[in-house]
Amino acid sequence: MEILRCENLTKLYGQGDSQTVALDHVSFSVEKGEFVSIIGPSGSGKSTLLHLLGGVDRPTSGQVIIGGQDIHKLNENQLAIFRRRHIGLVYQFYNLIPVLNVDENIVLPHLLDGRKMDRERLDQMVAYLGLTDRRNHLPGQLSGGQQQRVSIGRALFSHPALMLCDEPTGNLDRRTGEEIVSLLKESNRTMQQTLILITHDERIALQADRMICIEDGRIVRDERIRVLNSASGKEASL
Amino acid sequence: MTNRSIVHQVTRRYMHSQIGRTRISFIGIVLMVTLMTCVFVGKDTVLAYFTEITETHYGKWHMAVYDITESQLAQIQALSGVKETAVSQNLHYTAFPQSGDELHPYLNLRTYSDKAFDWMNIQVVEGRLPVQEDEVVISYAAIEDGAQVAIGDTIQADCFRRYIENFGVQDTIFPFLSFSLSSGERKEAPADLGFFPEGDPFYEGHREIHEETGVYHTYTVTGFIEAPSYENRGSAAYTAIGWMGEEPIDGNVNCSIRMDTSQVQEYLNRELAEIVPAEQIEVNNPVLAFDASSSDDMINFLAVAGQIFFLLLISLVSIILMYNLFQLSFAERCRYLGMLSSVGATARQKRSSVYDEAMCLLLPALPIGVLLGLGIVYGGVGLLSPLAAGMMGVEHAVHAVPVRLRITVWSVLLTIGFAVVTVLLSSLLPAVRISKTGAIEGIRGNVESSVRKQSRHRLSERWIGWFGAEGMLAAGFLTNQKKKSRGIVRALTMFFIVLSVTMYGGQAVSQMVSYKLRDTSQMGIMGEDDWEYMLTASGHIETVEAIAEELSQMEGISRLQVSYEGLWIGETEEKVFSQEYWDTFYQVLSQYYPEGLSKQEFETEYVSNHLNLVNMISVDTERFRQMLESVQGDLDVWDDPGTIPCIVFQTGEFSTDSYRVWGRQPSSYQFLEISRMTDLDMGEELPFTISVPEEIAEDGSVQMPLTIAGFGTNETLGKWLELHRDDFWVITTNEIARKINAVRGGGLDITVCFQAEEENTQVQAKLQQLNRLQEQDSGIYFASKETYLPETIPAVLSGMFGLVMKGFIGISSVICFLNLYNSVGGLMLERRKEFATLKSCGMTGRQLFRMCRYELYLIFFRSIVIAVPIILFLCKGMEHVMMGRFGHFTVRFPLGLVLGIGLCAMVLTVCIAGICCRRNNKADHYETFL
Repeated sequence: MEILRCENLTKLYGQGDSQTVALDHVSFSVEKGEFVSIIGPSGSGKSTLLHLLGGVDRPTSGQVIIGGQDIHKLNENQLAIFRRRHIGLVYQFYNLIPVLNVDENIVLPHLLDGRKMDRERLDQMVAYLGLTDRRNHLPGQLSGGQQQRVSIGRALFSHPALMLCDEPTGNLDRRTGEEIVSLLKESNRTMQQTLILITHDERIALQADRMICIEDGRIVRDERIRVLNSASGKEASL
Repeated sequence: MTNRSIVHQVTRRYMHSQIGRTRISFIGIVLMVTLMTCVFVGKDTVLAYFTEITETHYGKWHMAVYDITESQLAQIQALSGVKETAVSQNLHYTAFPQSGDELHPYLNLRTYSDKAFDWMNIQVVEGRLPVQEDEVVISYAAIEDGAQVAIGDTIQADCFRRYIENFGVQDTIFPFLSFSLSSGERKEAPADLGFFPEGDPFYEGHREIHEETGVYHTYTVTGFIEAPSYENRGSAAYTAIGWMGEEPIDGNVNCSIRMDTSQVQEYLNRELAEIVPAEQIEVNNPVLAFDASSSDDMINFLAVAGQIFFLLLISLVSIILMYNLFQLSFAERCRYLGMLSSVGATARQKRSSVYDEAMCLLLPALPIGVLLGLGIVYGGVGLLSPLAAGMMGVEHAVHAVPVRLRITVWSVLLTIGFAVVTVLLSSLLPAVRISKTGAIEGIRGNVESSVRKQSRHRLSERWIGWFGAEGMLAAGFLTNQKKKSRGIVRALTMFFIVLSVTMYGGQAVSQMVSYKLRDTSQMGIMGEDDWEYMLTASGHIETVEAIAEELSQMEGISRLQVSYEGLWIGETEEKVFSQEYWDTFYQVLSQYYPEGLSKQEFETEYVSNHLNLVNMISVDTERFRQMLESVQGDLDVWDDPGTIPCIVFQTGEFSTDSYRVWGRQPSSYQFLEISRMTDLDMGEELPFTISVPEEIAEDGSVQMPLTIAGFGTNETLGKWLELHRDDFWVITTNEIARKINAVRGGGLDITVCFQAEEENTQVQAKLQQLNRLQEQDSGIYFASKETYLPETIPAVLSGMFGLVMKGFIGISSVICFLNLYNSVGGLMLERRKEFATLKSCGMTGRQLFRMCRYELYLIFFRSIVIAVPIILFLCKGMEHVMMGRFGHFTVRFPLGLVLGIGLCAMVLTVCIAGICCRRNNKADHYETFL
């Protein structure tokens, strides 16, 4: 079942001679529960694509359809509400709210949606993330790995249909990075969430179901990974 | 390119990239320089201008010495502080048979040197000034009163000195002339003493004696002059001035002095005092008051205090604005400064980047600010001068005295000096902090991080329940990012402090000025909002009552109020006066006894001789009832037909100006307010004795005890009545006043106040008729509010102080507002990454604004919590200094105004946040994620 489709997605920056094409007529679709990695050199347009998919930036042209809804037809307000209900975003530099503690950062989108605090679910989530003894700490008091866990917790808390991760391991050491990817894969498997992950790390990219390679704002490769992933026991195609 | 210049280049480019911030900083510095120019140049210009205007009315002299010998004159002229002298001579009186007014049968003849004519601003109405020794000009007041004299007529002057002898058995006191005569004593009559016509009871115990001076001269009248400022309409003579010639006539002369004004005090106390007795010296205080060199220490203190107050205010506001600007700039530039540091910039180079920015802004701001300040001073003085001159009654002087900017090297240097010091002081702390910032923390941008490693922050579900995610974020921001909100807290705190302290200080100084300088000869007057015209008379009560009756029936006449007023109309008993009254009285009297006034001496000399006089003012029944309700009085007393109800006015005051001790000078000025004139309670009887003719009572007095129905104060009764002085006032009804007047056989004055529709022809005719009634000297005085309440120089000073203060508060508020705008805008900019994150989490624009609002409410609350103790401390400190110098009075804190402005500040802050949020919503900040 298709959860995400983008058609002729184009994003231009600047005007006249200084105009830059960040994305050039990009089209692809993603199935529900699929784990897609996006790779490409620096400046190829990966992060721009992710921001457009997440509705945090608007395309110059083209469509992003999530669950049958063209999200860029929504106004700012509707888009913000859509984002907090259906999309989870994880960034390389965590982007946690520095004034909120672990618990507060995790429940933030939930509360922004005007919903009541779900203490049981929060406890479960904190335990799942391995942050039980850190829940009253501010982001500045946590390590990079712990901050990224909080960031993932925040993205997962509202059961989003789509998780978008922009180099979530880029700022972490290898071991911590592996832990974070495991966490994301586990949530992808157990919660049936669609996961789109941008990375520079080929080993991480190869753990996905599908790999899209972008260069100069265009998709140059879009392949299924066919290697049997022994760790997960799941068959993938390359 | 040197290291210094690369830092300078980077700073310049940064300023260019942050053009909005740079502009606001620049405007702030320009305003600061403008204000400082206004203080230094404006002060000199305004004071010089108003000194010139005042001189046109009061004369150009600073001090005058009267009745001195030739050798004394020579000694005075030789004094180093004396710049110029003008000599005049008082030839005393001569009969004036041509007079049209029997109360002005004399001419007061003087001769002036040319310089004296100039200094005294003698204005010719008709004809010309005398240029020969046998020529004279006469006050035009004589012509107005119907004198039969014309230009070219001759006056036979046979001069005499005027003496009064008391051959009665009782001492005589002329309270308004500071003149007294013991039984059997003979003294020269003061210049203001009026003439008593034949048959006046005055001659029952006194006689007027004329002693010829030997001066006999024939003068030709060459013109008529405006009545000089010293001519008193109540005196017995019109002024006549002749030309002195090269030498004065043998005898004593008067000498007017222009001098180094800073030496007035010294001369008054020492130099001149060694040559002539103090009572022969006069100081032209209205002129010197503008220079803070008058003979009155208190006026000088107020003038200097005002200047210091404004200067401190401006410096404080400017320093805070600049400091906040540089702090914000520091926070924003942290990253690039870190980068500079990483490539080898030294602490000194980083420091210099802040100073560079300060100087880049200050240098162009200096000339602009100075020019703007000069323009404001020039325009302001030009605009205000007709108003002030009109208030002083010297409108003609506005055209005669052109506005000239008084720019001295000192004033310019002080402006530049203060501006540079303010900017450098403001940039000092941020510069030091920048120099201490390491490369890594600068690049990471965590210099401002205030997170303590060990602190724990618990989730407050209740708070979230009340205020949602926005409340949680706001509380988190205020709790965990105190440093980031400090700029706004500082700006708001400053806003409150500046406004509150300025208003309080302004209010206190205004009150001091008005207490010190107000006209204490006023009795009670009706509330100003109530009337346009006033008809008043001593005696002629039936006539005025008939007019009032007629007016009340006329269309176009409204709000007619009749009242009766009696000064010292009766007596009460010593026990009626409160302990506070006696204590205050003692404190004021002590100023006259530097050697100490013992309690026993006070009791025998002052308490036992206290006259216990009572003043009375009455209003109509309806108004009395309104007053009684306003003071929460006892209506039962009012309804009891067996009592004579009255409201006692509890507010009183004593000062060394209003109470003088014969032959003594106070060691310093002292003003003390009395909150309770009596300790009696409501419903108690107030002993009240009135003097009556012997036909009514043998002992000449009648007891008419009053019953206290309520206690009024300036606050509770201010809208109906203004009662001044240290007297004991009771308010009663017109009905009772009429009874008292009947028993006394007169003595009360009647006043009728009303409003009139001037376009109504019937009303116009009536007003003209009332004017004529006054002109006929019927003993009835008719005036409009403008003519009845002419402003005095002190009132103008007080009014101008208020006006200048409002202007300064206005400009200071603009600076405070800029500061606030900058702080809020800066914080929003600094948090754009946080806002972008929140938006990526699904926060809507409305939610973002709500969060900002919550934050601002909390910041507002925190600012108030910080500001209130500081305001209280500063106000108390100011009060302590002022009271120590002035005396004791209650300063009415303008709480309502401060709260209103505080509310405006909050609304403005929220609006600024709203604008910034909207701008933030429109902008894409997702690049901050990268």
